[in-house]
Amino acid sequence: MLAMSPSRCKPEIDQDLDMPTCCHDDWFTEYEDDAVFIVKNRFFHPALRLFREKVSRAGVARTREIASYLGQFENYFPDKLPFRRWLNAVSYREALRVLLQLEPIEMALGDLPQDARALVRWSYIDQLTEQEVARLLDLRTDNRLLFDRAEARRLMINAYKQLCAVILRRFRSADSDVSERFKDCSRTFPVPPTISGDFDIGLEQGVAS
Amino acid sequence: MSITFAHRLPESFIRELFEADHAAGAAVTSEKLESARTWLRRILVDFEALDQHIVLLQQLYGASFHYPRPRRDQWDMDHPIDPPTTSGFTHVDRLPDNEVAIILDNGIDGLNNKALGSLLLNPYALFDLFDVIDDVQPEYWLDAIHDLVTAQSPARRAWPPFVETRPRPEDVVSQKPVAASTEASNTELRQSLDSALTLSKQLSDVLVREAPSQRSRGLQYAMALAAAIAIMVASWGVLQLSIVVPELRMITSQQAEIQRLTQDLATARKEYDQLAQQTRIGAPLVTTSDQQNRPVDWLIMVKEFYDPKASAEDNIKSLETHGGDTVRAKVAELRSKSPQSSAAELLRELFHSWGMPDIRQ
Repeated sequence: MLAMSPSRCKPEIDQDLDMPTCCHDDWFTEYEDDAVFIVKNRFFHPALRLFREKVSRAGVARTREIASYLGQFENYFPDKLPFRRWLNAVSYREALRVLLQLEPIEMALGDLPQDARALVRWSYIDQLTEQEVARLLDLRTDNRLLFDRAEARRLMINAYKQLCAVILRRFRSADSDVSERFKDCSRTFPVPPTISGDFDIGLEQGVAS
Repeated sequence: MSITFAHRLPESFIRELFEADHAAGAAVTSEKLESARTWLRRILVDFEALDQHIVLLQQLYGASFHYPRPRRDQWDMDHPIDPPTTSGFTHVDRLPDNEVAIILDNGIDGLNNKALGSLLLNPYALFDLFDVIDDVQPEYWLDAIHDLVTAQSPARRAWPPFVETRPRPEDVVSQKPVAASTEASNTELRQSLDSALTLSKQLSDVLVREAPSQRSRGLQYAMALAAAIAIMVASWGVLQLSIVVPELRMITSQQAEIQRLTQDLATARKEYDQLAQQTRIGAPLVTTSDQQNRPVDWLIMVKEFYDPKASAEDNIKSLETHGGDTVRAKVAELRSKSPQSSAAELLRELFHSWGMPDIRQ
């Protein structure tokens, strides 16, 4: 077994692997509130307003476990600054994984067709890439060795837009100022982290789909 | 490093700046310089503060602002989405890259009074700076955020957290005055709402289960729903609730229906009491985890102890065994009335006496 969570960032020797284990607890403790603040800043979406703090803290808490695990690798983070950037980036990713569990999002997800729901889950919880989704769905091309990444990407974007459309419908305020300020789909719900490249996620497209 | 941040939107100052912009240009006066800087620092790292600022700018200019997509969601794009060519704002251009780079590494203290004033009236440049700081995470601003977060921590409280002084448009639509939307009050509201919703669900579940027919089952559900809505509406504004709980919004959009349901409340209650009086068959207790020692009525009796595939005789035995003295007394009474009746007829009579004539062997 790995020594996962020593209380201080002092190297210990793991008996089974015979390698020094260390965690970044001190750094983590020093900067975890910063990470919560930064992640919280990114969840400005009206549908997530009530849950920003909770989701951000959950993301950072999950990142602590990862940081502890990575502590076994010597010089994984050579300095505090890369560690702080890593902490913010990974905390955001981890927070995205728990977004779908939020009550209003779970309900919105329930309104999606089953295939779109699965795609949304793979995009946020598993954070699968387009290539991985193409394999998962067995989207074959003429070449047996290659899968249709473009089609997977189209399906993932479409599922994301459908989710945004449902959220928007459910959260549309009587006062149009809100939707006026949040015109792009990325302002309705965070964009899945693994869909790469430029794509049009305008609100109108989301609603139309 | 010690950087100071404002914690409250300087509304009058921004108004003055806006008015000065129309007259002689939006330069910040020397005496306001420091307060302008502390506020600008705040809005460049804190979205809540930035959003409040932009709401105010929207109102001052009578213009709408659309947040562009954040950089982190535009992976392969070289440049962020450009601001619109037509806008009600007088300042719309994002700062040039070389100026942004200076701010990233050295903060905003190098901005002169005029540049500071223009920036504070430019929602596009402000969001762009906020976004690029979030994306690049320069050391200067990470340290600034650390100072801010540390100063706000409960242990130090050197500075108070950001205080929202202007309700958002989505809060304004509430029928009742809305308190400052701090995380604490939001959490409190959420918890209260969860309790109310849980209560209403439990109430409707119980009523639906106990309703003695499909017709009144619907009525009981409507009654429970009306009661739950009445309780919640009494506590919070309908529209405010509708933002928090989207389900309720769908319901509250049917105002006439709710009104009707609420008016029916007293009638439904009365009818339910009468029906309950007529159909309850005593108080035998069941001790399954599902029923929690609750007195059962015929509906649960039938559901639990009546097997349509079993013979009428076996069903009568089962109901007598599990239904307690009241059921046994009723069966004995029916037998004495019609000693020649078959088991099937007896069972039908038993069901009929419980107001459930449609269930047959």
